[in-house]
Amino acid sequence: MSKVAIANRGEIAKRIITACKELNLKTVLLYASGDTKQEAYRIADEKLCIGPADPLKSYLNISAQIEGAKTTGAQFIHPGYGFLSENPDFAKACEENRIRFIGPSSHCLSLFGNKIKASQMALKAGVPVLSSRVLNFKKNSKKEFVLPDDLKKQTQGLTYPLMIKSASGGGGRGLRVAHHLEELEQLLPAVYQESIQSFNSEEIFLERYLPEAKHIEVQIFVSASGEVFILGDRDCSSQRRHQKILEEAPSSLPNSLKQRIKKACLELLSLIDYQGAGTLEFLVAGNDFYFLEMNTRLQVEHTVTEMIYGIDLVKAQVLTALGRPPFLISQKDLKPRGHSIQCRLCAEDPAQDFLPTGGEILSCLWPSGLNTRVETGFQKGDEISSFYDSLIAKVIVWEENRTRAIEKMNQALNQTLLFGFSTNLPFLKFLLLHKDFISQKIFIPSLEKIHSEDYKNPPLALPEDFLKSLFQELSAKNNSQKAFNPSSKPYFNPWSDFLA
Amino acid sequence: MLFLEKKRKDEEFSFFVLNTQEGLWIHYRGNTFFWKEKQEPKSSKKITKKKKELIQAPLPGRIQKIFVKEGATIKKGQNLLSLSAMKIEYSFKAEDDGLIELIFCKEAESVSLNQNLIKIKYKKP
Repeated sequence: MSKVAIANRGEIAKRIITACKELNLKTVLLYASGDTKQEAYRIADEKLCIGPADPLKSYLNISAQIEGAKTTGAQFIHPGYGFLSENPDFAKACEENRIRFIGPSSHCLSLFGNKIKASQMALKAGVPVLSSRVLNFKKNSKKEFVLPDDLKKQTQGLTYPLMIKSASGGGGRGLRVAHHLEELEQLLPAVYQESIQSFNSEEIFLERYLPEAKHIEVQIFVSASGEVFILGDRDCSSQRRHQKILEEAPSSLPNSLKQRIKKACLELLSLIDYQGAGTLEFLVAGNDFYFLEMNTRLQVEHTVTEMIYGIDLVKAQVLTALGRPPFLISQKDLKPRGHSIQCRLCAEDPAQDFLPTGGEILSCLWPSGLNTRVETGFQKGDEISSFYDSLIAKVIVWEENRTRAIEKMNQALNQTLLFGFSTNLPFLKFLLLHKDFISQKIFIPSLEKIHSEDYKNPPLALPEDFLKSLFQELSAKNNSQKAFNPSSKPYFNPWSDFLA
Repeated sequence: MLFLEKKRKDEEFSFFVLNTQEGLWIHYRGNTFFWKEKQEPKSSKKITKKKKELIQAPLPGRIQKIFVKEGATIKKGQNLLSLSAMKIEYSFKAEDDGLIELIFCKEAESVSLNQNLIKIKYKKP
């Protein structure tokens, strides 16, 4: 019987374990010390601790992961998303140790892990990209960063505003925007410093920045036999500091534009030898689209695609690794239906500029019902640790159209209860019913504006004196019970001292 | 956690509630909030509360940037240091005018929970 090692944690680890079990495969969770208060730990067939809580020494440690898989006799590793999922060295180490990495080859990972190589690839396929340039800086003899005298010349032909980031950095880490040359000169030293520290790269990437753009991405899947599936698009423009918090499928783009984007995806994919799930990300402004990057892994928001197509992408990934067809349904019958929305519930406090919270979940109730889905790795008594991602749960709904999906999501969020620490739930609810979201006018920078200008924390809906007497009543009751339960202790909040 | 139905004057309230030592977690009409008793006599004390002169890491992370040097004078609200933990960046600001006495960490250093970062001497205690 084949065994799959899971090199991840939280909701995605649970999701992968469930899919493997349905396929009658054994699972082993490779976890960090102390990270046992999660569903994945409770449902995995086997568990192996591979290092300390610090993710750099465990979840991000390639040799510890490989050693863990070998020790437990796993033939497969599923990397999930984040952590090592897009690390070509990890995929390579798997290949060298005869462990099947569930994802594309290390060659594909390194090709798309570098923004420059990826843009060159897109250009070769005739797919539009934003005007961009790479600046390579060398430190002077004192190992200090110096601005080149000919910066103006080096940036000639680029259109401001410009986005600046490390050429090797993925996602939103270290991303800045310069509106003119002077601002660019001011920002470069810090970006350079971050690039060296985080990615050990001296290459800085500059790219035209579009303020009124939507983030549209296309889900693709390539089967073991090389059949390419284009599984529609998603609108992920609802982002805060480049972290998506609400996603939907399909997007609101006109059909003609969707067809052009689909054609571009096929052109790009024809140039590479890809396998498994992947996402091509685009910026769309007006009637133009530009290739951003390709994510060579499962995305957090793969769920909304699953809902409108009625498929299981995680199972498809595992089946592909086994050399079997990913879907039972044939390509021509795979058609999207209705509308799906996902909200990410995170341990962040919108009243305090999304300061990370976390701690023990004292109580929780997840919404349920027809076409209401919750992907979470945590239950009552579990802990959201500041070591890891702030994602607690993904609430996903499907309905026949967008309006109904919004109504369903509103109900689902009303039924979502989490006691123990603040979450971004009130902001998610606010965003869902915001006029710009309803009218599909959310662009990438919109959320910062909505949060700072429109959002107010909901007021206490119950009268103060009522709560006061309730507190006294319940505390009195508690105290009388405490005599029998001396072990009850208050929950631990790492921020409490800091916020005092 | 309890589900309670309470009557007050002519209004009926039904809600989920969890009682902790610090206050009440309430889920009412789809909204979750935490209620804490307002402590009026204590709140006036809070203003004269001693400012934190020793900044410690509130969570394990990595020092992103240090904006000040030892011996530097600082102004209220000035950025002192930024710490990143996973994908979130958190910056520390000066609570008041003062002087940087000691810096215990370096940029790019990984720090653990409650590790000392910066010691400040405020003008007014």
